[in-house]
Amino acid sequence: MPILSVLIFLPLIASLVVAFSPDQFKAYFKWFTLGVTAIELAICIYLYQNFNHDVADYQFLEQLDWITLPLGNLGIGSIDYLLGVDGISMPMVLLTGIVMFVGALSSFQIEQKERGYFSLYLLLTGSVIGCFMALDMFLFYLFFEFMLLPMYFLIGIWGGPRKEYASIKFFLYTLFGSIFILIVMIALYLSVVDPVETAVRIGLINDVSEITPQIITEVQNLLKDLKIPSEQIVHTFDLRFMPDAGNFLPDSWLNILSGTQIFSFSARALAFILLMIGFGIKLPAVPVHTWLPDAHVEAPTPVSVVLAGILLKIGGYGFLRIAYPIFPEVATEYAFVIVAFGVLSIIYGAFNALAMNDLKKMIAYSSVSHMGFVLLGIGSLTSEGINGAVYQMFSHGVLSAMLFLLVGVLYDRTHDRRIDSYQGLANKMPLYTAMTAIAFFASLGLPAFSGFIGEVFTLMGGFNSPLIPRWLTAIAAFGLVLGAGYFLWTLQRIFFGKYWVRQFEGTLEDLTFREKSMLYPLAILAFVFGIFPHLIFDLTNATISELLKLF
Amino acid sequence: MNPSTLIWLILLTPLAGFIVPILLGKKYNATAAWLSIALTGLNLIFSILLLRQNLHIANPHLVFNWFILGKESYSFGFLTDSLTLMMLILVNFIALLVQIFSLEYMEKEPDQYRYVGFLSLFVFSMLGIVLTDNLLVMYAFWELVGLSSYLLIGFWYQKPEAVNASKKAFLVNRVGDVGFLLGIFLAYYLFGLSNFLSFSTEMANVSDTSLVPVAGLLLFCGCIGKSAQFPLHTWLPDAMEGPTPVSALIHAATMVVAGVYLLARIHPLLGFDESVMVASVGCITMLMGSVYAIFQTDIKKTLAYSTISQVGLMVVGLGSDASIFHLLTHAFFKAGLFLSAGSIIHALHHVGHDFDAQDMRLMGGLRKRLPFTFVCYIVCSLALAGIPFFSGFLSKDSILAQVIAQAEQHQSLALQVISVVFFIGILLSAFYMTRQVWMIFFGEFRNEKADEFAIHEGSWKITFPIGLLAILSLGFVFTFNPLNAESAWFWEFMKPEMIEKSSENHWVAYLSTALAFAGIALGYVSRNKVFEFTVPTLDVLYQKVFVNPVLKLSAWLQIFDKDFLDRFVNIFAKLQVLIANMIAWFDAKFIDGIPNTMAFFAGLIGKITRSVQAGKVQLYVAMSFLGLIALVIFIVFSS
Repeated sequence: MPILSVLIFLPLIASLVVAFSPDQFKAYFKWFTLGVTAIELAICIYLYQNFNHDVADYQFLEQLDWITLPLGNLGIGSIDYLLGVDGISMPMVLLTGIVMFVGALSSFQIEQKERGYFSLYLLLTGSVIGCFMALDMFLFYLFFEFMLLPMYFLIGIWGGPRKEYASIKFFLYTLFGSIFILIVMIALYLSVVDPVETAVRIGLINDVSEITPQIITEVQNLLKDLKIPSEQIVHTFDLRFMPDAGNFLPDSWLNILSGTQIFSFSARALAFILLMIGFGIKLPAVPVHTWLPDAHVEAPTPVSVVLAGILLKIGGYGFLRIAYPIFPEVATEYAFVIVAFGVLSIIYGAFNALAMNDLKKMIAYSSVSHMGFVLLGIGSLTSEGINGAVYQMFSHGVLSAMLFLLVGVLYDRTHDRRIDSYQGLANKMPLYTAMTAIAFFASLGLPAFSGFIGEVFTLMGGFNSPLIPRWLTAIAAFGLVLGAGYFLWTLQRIFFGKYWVRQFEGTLEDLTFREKSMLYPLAILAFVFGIFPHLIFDLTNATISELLKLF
Repeated sequence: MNPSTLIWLILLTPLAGFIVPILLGKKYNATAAWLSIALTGLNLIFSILLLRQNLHIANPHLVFNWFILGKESYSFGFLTDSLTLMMLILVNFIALLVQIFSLEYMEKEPDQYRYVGFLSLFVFSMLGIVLTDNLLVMYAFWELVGLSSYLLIGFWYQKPEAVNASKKAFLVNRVGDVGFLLGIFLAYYLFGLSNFLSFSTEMANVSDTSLVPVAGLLLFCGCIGKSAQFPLHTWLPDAMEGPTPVSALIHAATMVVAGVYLLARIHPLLGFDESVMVASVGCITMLMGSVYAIFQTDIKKTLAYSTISQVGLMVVGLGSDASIFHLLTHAFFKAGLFLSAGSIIHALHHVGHDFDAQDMRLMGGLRKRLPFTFVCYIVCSLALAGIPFFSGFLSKDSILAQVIAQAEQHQSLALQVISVVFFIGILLSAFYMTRQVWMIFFGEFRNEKADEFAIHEGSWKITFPIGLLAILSLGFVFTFNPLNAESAWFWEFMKPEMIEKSSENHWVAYLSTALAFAGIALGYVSRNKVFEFTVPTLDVLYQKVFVNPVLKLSAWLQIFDKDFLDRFVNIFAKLQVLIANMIAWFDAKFIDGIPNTMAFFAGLIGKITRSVQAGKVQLYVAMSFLGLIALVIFIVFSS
C-alpha cells in the first residue's frame, strides 16, 4: 500500500467531503476531523515503528512520473511524484501527526462557519505532511505554497480583531520568501540532470530498474565531457540527485566547477543565501521574524498551535533538506554568519519576550528564541549540533503547542491575554498552574524534559565546532538565563501572590476534560522524549552522519 | 541484592515519594508525610546495604548505555566509591530527620502533600548528583536540584517575598550553570565522553592542554552558583523565605555543598594556579559571610550567612578529603542549628500574633522556656565555632593544616594570606555565634506581643531530630581522641590505602582554639549591643548593573522591534502600495490615455461629422447643391 500517499490524500479527500457536506451534518465535522487526524497519527506511529534506524537513505519510497515535457534544446523536463522519509523528515512527520491531532481537539471550540474551518484544517494537514515527505523539489514547493492558502483563511476568518492585517502580513511575508526559493529552484532545475532517466534516453539501459552505480558514473562522465546531446538530457527536480555534484551540467550556473558569478557573487553562494532567507522567514530568524507575533496574536488557538508546532519547523527542515546538502561548501563558508544569526535570534527573541505584556506575544518571541537554537545547531555542522537541532524542532513542536493551548485556556475564560491582568491564579486553578509550570520549565530547558536535550546538544555542537569561535556560543548560552528569566517572571506575575483578575467577576474554572486530554499527553510526551532522547536520535543519527560526509 | 538493583531502588524510592503524594493531593496530607518518611527510611537502609557491599571495592563503577549520537555513545553510570556512599547516607539521614521534624512543623499546612512531594524530589535529585559518574547527567540532576529548591523556597506562593526569593535563587544559579555547562562542553571536547574517574588517566591524551584549566574553572562556576560563593552568594540569604526545615536540609546541609562535591570530582582538572584562584574565591566568601553574619537580626539570616562562610571554608579546602570531612561535620551541626531555630520559631508562632517570630531582637531568655533546644543549640554552636571536643574543631583544623602545608610547600604568598584570613574567620564565627546565642537564650524576653509563659518545647518529632544532630556534633563521634583530627575514622573511610599520616602542626590547633575562645569572649563583651545598621549587599549593585539594564534593554529592543523592524516591513509594504497606485495612475492616464485620446479624437471628429448629418432635408439639399457646384467648378477648371 502506498502508505505515504494515503497520509497526504486522506486529509485532502476528507477536506472535500467536509466542504460538500450539507449543513445538517455540521455538528459532526469536528468529530470527523478528529477521526481523520487520529488515523493520520496512527499511520505516523506505524511509520515510526517500521522505520529502519540503520538506513541513512529514504524509506517508504513512492515514485510516479508526473509531468515529462520535451523542451527541445533545453532537454527534457521531468517532474515526479516522489515521496519518501528519512531520518530528518521522520521526526517531523511524527510531530505533524501529533500536533494536527491535538490541534483538531483544540478546534472543538470553533463555533462559527464550521464547514469552512474544518475543511481548511484538513487541507492544511494534507499539505503540511506532504511538504515533509516530498522529495521532488517541485512537489515540495507545491505543498509549501499550498499551505499558505488554508492558513490565510484560517487566520483571516477565525482570527482576532486585527485578523485581516495579520493574515495578509503572514501571507505576503511567506510568499516573499517563497519567491527566493522559487528562483533557486528554477536555477537548480536548469543545472541538475537525472542520471537515471538520461541513461534510459541515451540507450545505456532499457529501463530505470536496471540502474547500477556504474551506469550513473558513466552518465556523469559523459555529462562532464559534454558528450550527451542537449535534447537527450533529462532535467529534474529530484532532491536525491541534487547533492551529487556530478549530476550538475558542466556549464550550468550552479555547477561547483563553473564558478559562475552574478554581481561578483558566486552563483552558488547567492543561491544558498536566497534559500536561507526564504526558509529563514519561515523559521523565523531575526530580522525577518516580525510576521510571527502578529500572526500568533490574531490566530485562533488551534491555528497558533499548528503554526508554532509545525509550520515553523518547515524552515529548519528546508535548511537540512535543500540548502545544506546541495550547497555544502557554501554552508561551511558561511557557518559563522549563520550561527551569528542563530545567536542573534536566541538573544533578541529572549529580550523581546522579557518585555511583552501580551502572553501570546511573549510565547511567540520565545519561539523566535528557541528556533534560534535550531539555526545554531545546524550552522555548527557537527553531529551533536544537527541532531540537536532536529531534536529541538521536535521538542519545540510539542512544547509550543502546549504553551499556546495554555494561553487559549485562559483566553477562553476571560478574553484577556495581558499578563498584568492576572495575579495569584494558583489559588483558583491549581491544575492549570501545574500544567503551565511544567510547560514553562520544560521550555526553559529543565532536564528531564525534551527542551533540555535540544538546547544542550545544539549548544554543545556550536561550542565544539571548529568553524565557530567559542565566544559566540557562550553568548548563546546566556539565552538560557534570559529564558529562565522571562518564563519564571511570567509564572510569578500570573500565578503567584494573592488572587486578582482585572474586570472579571465570574469564577475561573480549572481545566476541563477536553483541555486535560490535550495538555496531559503533550506534557507526558515532553517528559518521555526528555528522558529517552534515543527515541529521536535513533531516527536521525544515520541520516545526519551521512549528511555530514558532504562537508 | 546486586549493586545496580540497589542503586535503581535508591533512585526510585524518592521519586515515588515525589509522585505519589502529588497524585494523592490535599486529602491525604498526613498519609503522604508518613509515606515519605517510610520511603526515606527505606532508602537509608538501601544506602547502608550498598555501603556494606561496596565499600572499598576495586572498581566502584557501573555503566549503562543511554543513546548514540554520531559515533559517540552517550552512557550514564553510577559510582559507588567512598565519597558517593558517604553522601548517600548523609543526604538520606538528614532528610529523614527533617521529614520527622516537618511532621509537626508543617502540620497545619493545607498543602502539606506538596511540601513532602517536593522534599522527596529534592532527595531524588541530590542522590542523582552524588551517584552519577559523568558531567552531563550530573548537570541534569543539578538543575533538578535547582528546581526543587525553587519549588520549596516559593512554597508559600502567596507571599511575594518568597516568590521573589525563589525566582532569584533559580536565576542566580542559572548564571553559574551557564559556566558549568560550557565547562562540560569543553571537558567533552578535551576528554571525549569520559566520566570523572578517567579525568586523571585521560589527561595524557589531551591535545590542547592549555584548555584543561579553563575547563576546570568553567566547571567551578557551577560550584559558585550552587554553593553560594562570591559573587553569586546573594540568593542564599533570600532563600530563607522557605520553610525552616527546608533551609536545614537544602540550604545548609546538603544542596549548597553540592558545589564542594563537584569540586572534589573535578579536582584533577585544576592546576596549582587555578587552585589558588578557587581557594581565593572560597576565602573571600568565608570572610564576607562571617562579616555579614554579625549584622543580621533575623535568626535564620545569621545562620544563612554562616553557611555561606562555612561553605567558603570548604572551597578553600579545594574539595579535598579535609573539605569533605568538614562537609560531613557541618551538615550535622548546621542542620542541628537550623532545626533548633525552627523549634524556636515554631514555639514563638504559637504564643502570639503580629510579630516577626524570626527577629532575634524580640527573643531573649528562652533558655528557661526551651531548655532542650537551648542545650542542642549550644552544642551545635560550639561545633561551628571550632571548640575542641566538638566536631567542627576537627574538620576546620584539617582544612587549615592542609592550606598551611600547601603554602609552605609552594612558598605561595596567596595561600599564606588565605591561611591568615582563615584564622580571622575562626575568630569571627565564634564571635557572631556567641552573640546570637546570647540574644536568643539569655537576658530577658523582649517581646511584648507574645505570652512568654506559654512558650514550650515541641513534641518528640521536634526534639528527637535536634537531639540526635547535637549528639552527632560531638567530637567523640568522629574520633576516640577528639583533640586530634588525624585519628578520625573518616580518613580511613575515604582512602583505606593511605596509611601514611602527615605530621601534625600542634600550633595550628592551639592558635585556632585560642582565637575561637577569643571570639567567644569578644562576643560576650559586646553581648548587649545590637548592631542595627544594615550592611549594603551586592544585591543593590546587581540590580543596578545587571537586572535593570537587562530590563531596559529588553524594553528598548521591543520598541526597536515594533517601531523599527516591523515598521520597516510595513513601510516596505506601503511603498509597494504607493508604487502600485502610481503605476495604476500612470496606467490610467498614459497607457490607457493614448487609446482614450485617440478614441476621444475619433469621437470628436465623429461628433463634428455627425452634426453635419443631422437629418435635415433642407441641409442635405443645400449640401448636394454646393457639392454639385463644386463638382462643376472642378470639371470646368481642370479641363
